[in-house]
Amino acid sequence: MKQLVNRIKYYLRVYFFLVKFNVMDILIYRANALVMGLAPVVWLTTMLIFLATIFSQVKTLGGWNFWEIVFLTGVHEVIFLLTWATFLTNLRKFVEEIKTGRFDQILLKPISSRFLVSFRNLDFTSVGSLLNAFFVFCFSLGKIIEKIDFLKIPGFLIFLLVAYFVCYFIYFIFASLSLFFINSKTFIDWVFDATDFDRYPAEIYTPSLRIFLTFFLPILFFAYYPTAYLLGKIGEEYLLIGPFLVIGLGLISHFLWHFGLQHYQSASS
Amino acid sequence: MAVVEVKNLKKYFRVHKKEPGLIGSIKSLISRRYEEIKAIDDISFNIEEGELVGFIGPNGAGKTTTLKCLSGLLYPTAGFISVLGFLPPQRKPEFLRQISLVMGQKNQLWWDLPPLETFQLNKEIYEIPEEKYKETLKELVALLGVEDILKVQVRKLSLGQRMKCELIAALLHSPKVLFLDEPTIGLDVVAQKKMRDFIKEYNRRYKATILLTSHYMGDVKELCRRVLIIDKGKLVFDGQLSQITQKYADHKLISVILAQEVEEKTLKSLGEIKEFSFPKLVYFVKREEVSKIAAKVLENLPVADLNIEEPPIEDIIRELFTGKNYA
Repeated sequence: MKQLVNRIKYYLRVYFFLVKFNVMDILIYRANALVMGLAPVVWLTTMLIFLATIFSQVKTLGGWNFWEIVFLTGVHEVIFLLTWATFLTNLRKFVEEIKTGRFDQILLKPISSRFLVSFRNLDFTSVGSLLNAFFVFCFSLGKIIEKIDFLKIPGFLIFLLVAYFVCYFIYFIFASLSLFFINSKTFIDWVFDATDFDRYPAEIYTPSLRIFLTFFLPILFFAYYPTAYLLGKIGEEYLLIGPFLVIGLGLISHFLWHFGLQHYQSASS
Repeated sequence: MAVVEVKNLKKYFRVHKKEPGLIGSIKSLISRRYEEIKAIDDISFNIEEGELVGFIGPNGAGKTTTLKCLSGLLYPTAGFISVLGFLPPQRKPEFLRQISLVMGQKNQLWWDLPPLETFQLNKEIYEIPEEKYKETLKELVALLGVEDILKVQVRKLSLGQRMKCELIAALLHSPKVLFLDEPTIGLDVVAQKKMRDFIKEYNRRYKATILLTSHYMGDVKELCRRVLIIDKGKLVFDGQLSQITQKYADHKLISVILAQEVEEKTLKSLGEIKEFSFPKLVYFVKREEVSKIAAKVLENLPVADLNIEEPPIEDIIRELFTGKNYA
């Protein structure tokens, strides 16, 4: 137990240094960071205008009203931006590092290579967007607050935790494919694009597509299930699927990673 | 027990062969041709504690692949490797804490931050106690003479300065085994010399076991008594540097300083001329004919000075790789 605590302390200490370095890094290119942070803000505004246009024609979409879907968008964006800031940019870079052989330097360190690959850099450029998404989240929550059963809040928070881990494991699995195919960026981009399914109520999809997006590529866990649970649109049983999914995906990613390392070919010097 | 043990090591890569051009790219989408490359083909050697061994060979001979197998980056196809009693492919943290691989063309320093920050991060990752870190850093900085650049952004450093800082980052945890892959590549002669002096001193001071690859024979000549020569994945020589001359050089050089000009025809009649620029004349002669030709030269030419020399090691190695005469 003491050993485990020491290990956690060790990783937290290293993570603290990585955060510190990333802050120092971002301060060097201040102007660039601000401009980059603006792009997703513009995108989110466009998305909201698009939703408002649709709802000027219909009253509900799959049984969800305008503010419920805006709330779904808010949850989706918060989760997405958190994952983007903490590991998604790293996993996209990892694919490049495999191609150039820079991954060698990570493998040589006496620390989990998976930890360094996933969490080495923090993308602070998304902080502005995250605040914006958080505003959308809070504002729309205010509009639907009377529909919310407060007893469901702990379950909702568990769902968000599950969302983060499911998202991490899915992207990590696809990034790990680079150890076999050298370039798996297309796979990652494909998952990236597929997450759009999670922006809308799953009620509008066919049952087979819902099953696929729940068990095979479980991206509905990113925002749809947490939000649907909070709004009372799905039952408690979905809360049970989450942890199993996290454990299952975690195991797959673990074996794929270790098996992939045996196939790593590096790049010539 | 040897610090580094390599027995029948093999590393094969399956490489996709693509014809040139767009048509080749389209063809390769439909049917791919693969070829097996034997990067390392059954090599064995041992390195004892504190040895500084040179690892030489032409491009693509398998030097870097061997170092990568020894440091745990690559899984061998077959064979046995052990470093400090560990199996490198397992990449145990206790193993990685005791080795270092420095690749001249790849860096670990954070590009936009001063080198001191990367050193700090390595201190945390390698769990180096504060006192030990300060002491080692002070020593390494003094040895390499980089006191003034520790707080300068890495991207503003020259290649030589950067390489020195890369070395410090790789040595802060005081590795017992050091794999150096082309540590002097791209450096000017002054920086090369400093780097060599440092490696020699590091080996002496810390009794570190070092395996070094370099394309500069100067590095090998100055640093290593023992060399391993690898070509096309096979180990073709393992022994003292001085033995290479005896084993592979079947010629010697007779250097002559002429007292006065002589017709070229006369010079040529005495033996094969390697170099001639009055007053210096160099004959390239077979070992068994050295005394006979030296006598003829003394008899027929106005000689001011005469020396019989072994050919430069660089020439022998070049000859070895181009002639492929490993008999």
